[in-house]
Amino acid sequence: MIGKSDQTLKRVANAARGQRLTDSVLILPFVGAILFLLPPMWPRASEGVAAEGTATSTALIYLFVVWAGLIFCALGLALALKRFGVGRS
Amino acid sequence: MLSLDLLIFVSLIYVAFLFGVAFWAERASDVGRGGWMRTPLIYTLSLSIYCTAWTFYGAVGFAARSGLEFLTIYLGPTVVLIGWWLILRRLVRIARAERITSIADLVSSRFGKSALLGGLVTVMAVVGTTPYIALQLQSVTTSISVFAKGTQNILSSTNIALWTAAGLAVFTILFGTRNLDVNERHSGVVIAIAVEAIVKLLALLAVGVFVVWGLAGGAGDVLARIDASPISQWEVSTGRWIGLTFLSAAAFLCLPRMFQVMVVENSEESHLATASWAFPLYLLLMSLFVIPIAVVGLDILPAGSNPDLFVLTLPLSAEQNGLAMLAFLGGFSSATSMVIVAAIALSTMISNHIVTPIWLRSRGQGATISGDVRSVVLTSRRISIIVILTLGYLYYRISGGGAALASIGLISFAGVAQILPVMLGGIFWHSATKIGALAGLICGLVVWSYTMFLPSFGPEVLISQETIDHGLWGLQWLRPTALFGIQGLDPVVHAVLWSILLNSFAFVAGSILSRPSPLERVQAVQFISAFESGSSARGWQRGATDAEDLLSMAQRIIGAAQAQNLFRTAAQRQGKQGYLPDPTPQFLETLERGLAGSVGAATAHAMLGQMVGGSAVTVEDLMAVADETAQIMEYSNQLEAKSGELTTTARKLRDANDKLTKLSIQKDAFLSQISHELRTPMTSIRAFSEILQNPDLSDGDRPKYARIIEDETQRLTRLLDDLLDLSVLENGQVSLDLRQARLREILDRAQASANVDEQIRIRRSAGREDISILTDPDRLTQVFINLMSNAAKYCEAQRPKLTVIVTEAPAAITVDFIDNGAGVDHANQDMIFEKFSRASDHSKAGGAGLGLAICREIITNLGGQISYLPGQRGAAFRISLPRD
Repeated sequence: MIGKSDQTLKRVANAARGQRLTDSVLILPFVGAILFLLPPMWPRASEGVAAEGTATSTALIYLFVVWAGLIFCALGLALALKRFGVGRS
Repeated sequence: MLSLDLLIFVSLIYVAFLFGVAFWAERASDVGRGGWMRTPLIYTLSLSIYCTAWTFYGAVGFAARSGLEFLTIYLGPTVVLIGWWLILRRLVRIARAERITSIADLVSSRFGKSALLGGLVTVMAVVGTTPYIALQLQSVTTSISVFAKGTQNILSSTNIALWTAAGLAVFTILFGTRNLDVNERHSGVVIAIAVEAIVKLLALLAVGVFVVWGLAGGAGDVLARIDASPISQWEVSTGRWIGLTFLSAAAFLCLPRMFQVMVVENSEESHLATASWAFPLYLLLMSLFVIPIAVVGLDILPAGSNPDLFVLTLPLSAEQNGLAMLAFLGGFSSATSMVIVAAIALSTMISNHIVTPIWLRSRGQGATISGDVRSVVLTSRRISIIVILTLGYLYYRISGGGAALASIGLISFAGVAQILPVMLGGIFWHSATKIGALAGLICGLVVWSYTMFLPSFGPEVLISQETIDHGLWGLQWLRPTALFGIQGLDPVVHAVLWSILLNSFAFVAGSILSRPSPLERVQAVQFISAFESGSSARGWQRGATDAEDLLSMAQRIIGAAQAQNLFRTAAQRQGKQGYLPDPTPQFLETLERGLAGSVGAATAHAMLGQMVGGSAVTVEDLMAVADETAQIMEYSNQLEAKSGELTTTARKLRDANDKLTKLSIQKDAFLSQISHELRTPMTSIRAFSEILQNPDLSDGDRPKYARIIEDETQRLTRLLDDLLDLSVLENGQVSLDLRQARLREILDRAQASANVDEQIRIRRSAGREDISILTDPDRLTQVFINLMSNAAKYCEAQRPKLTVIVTEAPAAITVDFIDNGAGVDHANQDMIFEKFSRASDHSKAGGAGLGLAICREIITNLGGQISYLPGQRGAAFRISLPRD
């Protein structure tokens, strides 16, 4: 009996973890899209005053860091999904 | 300087190497050693055909002209892939289940296997891809012209483009149309593309590393150079940034070649999980050095150099011939891999959605199909490939090869993005219909052509300067660059915004205003619940067709070996020997999907329809696939209602049972009571009768005893009268003497008759009683008497008091009799109106317990109600009488 209830607990825990994982996978592109759409809202150089604007190099570093971060998250989620066999048909 | 001859020689060797790799991969796959080709890595690399020559050369040019804006083209696909769980996984699952062969097939299959929609999407894809192919030819030509500079120019640029197109056609025909694969997968092509993906990535990284650490002084120096360059400032317009990111994401999903490698060639869903991070990583690496190359190129190379060619000209200017050669091969790989896959995808679409349906129709509606369908399909694909490449070449010639690479690419992207609303609607929205899809696609195609495609050839080629300046037919609000008078938008953003908006609007409106056919409904459920249900809708009934005819048809379409295999497996599953299974609906379904893998859903459906005698989607089929949730909800509602009903009934039954039990007890009580009531007078009558017979009796006692006998007899008579009265009333046989009477008079009479003024004080309010009612005054008096004498009998207060309150309401008159005694306890309130019921002990009552029962019957017969009024501190009875 104890074994059976343990199994049930395990199954519930697995289902909950699967739900958390799929939720994270679903949310990630939206996080990415929002982060990618931030730079246009940054200040721009006006009337040739460069100091007021945003430097291309700054934006470049920001975008690539966000990009790499997203890739890293996607990698982690892909590994977790595979490890726990979520979404296997 | 690198010699042109050497360049062409190396290119030819490279091409021969690719042919070899493709050939070897096909062989390995044929003998079953191709397992390693179906790995996530190969899948990810094959996705890299997204990075065409546009990326390889054009991105640097794009960056040199508009800074970081070029990144949008890679950010869109990154978001799509990271969100693979939402869209791509669904597409792959659907494509697997329905044997989808192309994006046109997807749309056609979803909307009732419509040949018309398939054809339309095919046309759109061809129109949208043609500029893209031209772009690749242009990039190869211009890159070769860099090396040809200064040498004797033996090859004109048009010649180069022509030879490139011809070579690509040969490769594609050889490896792309070798067979009619059930799943349209091409191992040879995929492996060749994977090799090219590695070559182009390595080439670009090599050039980047050389530029950053060879020409410039490392990463810090490059950042400093960026700050000092013409593109040092972030000047990207918000509209373009958002618009282009969206556009690239849309195109990534809708480009025929991307759909081919991403969905059709996908062999396992789990590969998507790997690609979700690996392909964004590939894109990141491809764009990592773009800005440095652009900035250093702008810095070092003479002003006016074509920034689209910095990838080549930078190594050349530094005399790095080997690196320049690698860069050239990278660009060449980018261009060729794109053209090959695009040509395969498009030729499949053309043969499945345009040529075969027309060919089938021209054959008439014969029950069997003669001739070798396979050869027709394959030939049409080969011709299609030649036609597609010719179209690309012609576009290149007409557009003059002058425009910047990036702008041509965007036109193409916007063209295929028109499929997006229909595609997403098809896989997520139940109510999307074929009419809606047609409306949306046509609307998008028209707006895109008018605002983007036609003007791209330049003024006076396909669209007049007059129209561009003043709008169609002189209508200002129809200007191609300022639709509906909205000016100041970037032309690309303007075209994408309006085409996608109007497209989606037409799609939604058309879908809402039209009704889907039964087949569309079935397909909608198949597509939208791809993950929920394993069961499939049965589109076929057991036909009158012969399995042998089906086999001969299948052999002509998918080839003898594959067809026999399919049939034998099906026969085994049915528990039969040999090659001929029963044509059950399940088998027909399997067969249709098998055929769809070769000729597309619409054609397969039509062919099978000819054999089996028309598809038959019955109402039962629709019911079977109707939304299960809705069914469950309905069922649960029904259950709930039933359960509620049962609870009510059970409660009623319980109440009735309680009452019956009480009545039974009462009846027993009555029987003992009545026997007692009858026996007591009878006993005394008999006893006194015997005494009277005694001759010794004194004369004085005789009349006394006789009176006792008489009293007892009267009591008996009264009891019997009451019983008789009640029985008459209960049977409704009573005749009422209805007439107008004044309530006060009735009460007065009752009070006088009851004669209880000594025992109880009766309080009345004379003013209110002055009401005239239509009733039987004698009967009503009887009721009042009963209530008054009851009060006198049972009220145990020290100063008994009975209050009679008359209330006049519009519909009824109520008369309340309220005393100040102990009242009737709750348990007895239900029972006091029953016959022979007495709340207290019998001795005091002096009656048989019929009074209230008679009262109730009288009042009921008078059309009113009598009820016990709880909560009045004493016994309270309310009589309601109707007014007239």
